[in-house]
Amino acid sequence: MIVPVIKVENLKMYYKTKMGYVQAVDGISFELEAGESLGIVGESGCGKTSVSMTLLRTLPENAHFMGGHVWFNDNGKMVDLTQLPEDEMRHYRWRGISMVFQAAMNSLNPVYKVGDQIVEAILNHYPDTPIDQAKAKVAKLFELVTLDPKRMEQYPHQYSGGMKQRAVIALSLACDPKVIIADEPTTALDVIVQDKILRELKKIQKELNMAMIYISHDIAVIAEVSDKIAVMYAGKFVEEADSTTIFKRPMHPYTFLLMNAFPSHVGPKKKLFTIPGEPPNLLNPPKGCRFAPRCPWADNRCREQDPEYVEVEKGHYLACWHPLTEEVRQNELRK
Amino acid sequence: MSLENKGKKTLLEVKNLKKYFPAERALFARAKHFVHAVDDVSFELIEGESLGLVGESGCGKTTTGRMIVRLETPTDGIIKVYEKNINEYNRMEYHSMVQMIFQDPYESLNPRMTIFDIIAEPLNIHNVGTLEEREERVMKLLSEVGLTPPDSFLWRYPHELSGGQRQRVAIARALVLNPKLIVADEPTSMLDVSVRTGVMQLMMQLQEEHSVSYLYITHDLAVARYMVNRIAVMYLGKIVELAETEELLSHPLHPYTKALMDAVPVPDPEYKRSEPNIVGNISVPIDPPPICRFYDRCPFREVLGNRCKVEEHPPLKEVAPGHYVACYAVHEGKIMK
Repeated sequence: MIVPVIKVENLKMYYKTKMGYVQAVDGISFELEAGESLGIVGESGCGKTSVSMTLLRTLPENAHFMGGHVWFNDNGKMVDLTQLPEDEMRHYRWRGISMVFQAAMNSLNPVYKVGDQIVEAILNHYPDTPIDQAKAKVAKLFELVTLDPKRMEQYPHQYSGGMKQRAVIALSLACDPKVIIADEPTTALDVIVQDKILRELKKIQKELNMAMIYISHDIAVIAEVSDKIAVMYAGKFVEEADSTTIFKRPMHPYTFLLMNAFPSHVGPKKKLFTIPGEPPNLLNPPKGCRFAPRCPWADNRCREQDPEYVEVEKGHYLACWHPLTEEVRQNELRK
Repeated sequence: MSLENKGKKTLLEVKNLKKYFPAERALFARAKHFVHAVDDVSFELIEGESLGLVGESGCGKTTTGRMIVRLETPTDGIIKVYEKNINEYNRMEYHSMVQMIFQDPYESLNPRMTIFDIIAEPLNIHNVGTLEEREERVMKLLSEVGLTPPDSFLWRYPHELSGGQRQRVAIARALVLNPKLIVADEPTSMLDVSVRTGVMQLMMQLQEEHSVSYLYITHDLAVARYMVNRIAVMYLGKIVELAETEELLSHPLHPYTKALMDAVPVPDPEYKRSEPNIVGNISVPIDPPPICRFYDRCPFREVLGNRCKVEEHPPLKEVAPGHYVACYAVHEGKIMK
């Protein structure tokens, strides 16, 4: 039996505001094996970034952890990260789970040389490392992300956008993490640079046999980097399956509509679907299924009872009272 | 497409348009170096047709759009609307024909004005109709852009609306004077996928109902595919390829267009893209050498021996009906469909 590197169970995190609790992460579960990549796709405000912050426990002050478990496989021993005191959590941050942030330009310190910043990260987590060894490691990381090791001596402003993003990836790899979370790492980049970074990230992830959680709103990017995809809507996962299933045989109406709302520049020109309405306010989410107010297939039960998130076939998880059948999908596509 | 257009008037004509911005100018000193943001761009737009300007950031697509709505003054070149130089129109005349939709609906609407005031402002400026007529017109537009019931939106403020709704207000404002041309600068790039298709479909529908043309500026080839009849691909201030949308997407010829198309991720996990055939990184065109702007990054730069290195930037030449390419290697048949 394969033991997962990370297993998340019913994770909940709410933000406290003057108006009440914002239910940003409301019962998320998934697991990942080494070398596997999970794409979390969702629209802005659905809570996907909050998931990554909850996993790493880098939350703002008004965030309240409401329950659930994050089991991390520490050489065979499953540790619940949510229960650790802060100083023990530090041990797992970056060494266990590291992160590539969205705004690469802001995650590097402008007044330090880029190489030194990565050396510092290594020394922080492994204080006994001789400095030469740390430097040699950074040089190797630079080569891995196709940056010239000579650039270690340069400052962030001497880097282009794509190079900064590569440096941030090198930084996230500095302590040999088992899990890497990439939160929209290419969103601010032009497509040709994005393409290179995506290819490198994927190659590195496979080479180092890391588990990767890739968070994005861009379905096309998610399609390319993920082995399996979780679709997030209003603080919850509504469907998770391997990427082909999510694209070709989605069962949740939101997944189906979302996949067919995305234009492509290749292949036959398809009709684009629209989803009526807007995502709900998580301060006061709708009763029952959160997608029900926008769902063409919703009935009274959907508006009253929240469907449970269950495994409907091997590796395919779903929260829906009316899963779409092949017939329904084909009918919709023919319309 | 081109046959249908016979007999229709030329709405917009852009000829040898240039915009140079001074680079690194010291206080009181004259600029010595210039960024060639838009460098000798020419195209035409026929009434009712829509053209997409597609390219990466810094290619000059937005600057071109801003010059057409007279938000920037060209360094050189001519822009004509209905065969008359746009400087010969007075501001009021001009903006009743040409309007703009901006990228960011959070920035482009005045937060202190109500939705009614925002949409009616062009009518006030142009002194169109009585107050009742204006109110009626605004209500009609609100329901056309899908903000229904319209009277529930009239007296609200932008902060009460979502991004998609705000962009619909911006579209209504652009349409209120019945313009002929709307310059739309990435109008859907800030919107979420589920909301974006709605706005795209609305814009397509309004184009027919109001017989308006779009100059659609975007970095996204897939979005352009649904919005425009023809696409012009820009690279560092130059149009490198121009063709009808499906022709361009199925038979790209310019090496840059090919690379760009290969670089865009495809929403299909089974689709295997080929790796973009391009070297190096995009640069800023400060005092660029007169040779082909794409030379440094071109994988085919040596197929014609020395030619690409010594001759000036290739002209935009028609290589197939309606398909224009600025590349010597394509002109000489070294790069085929």
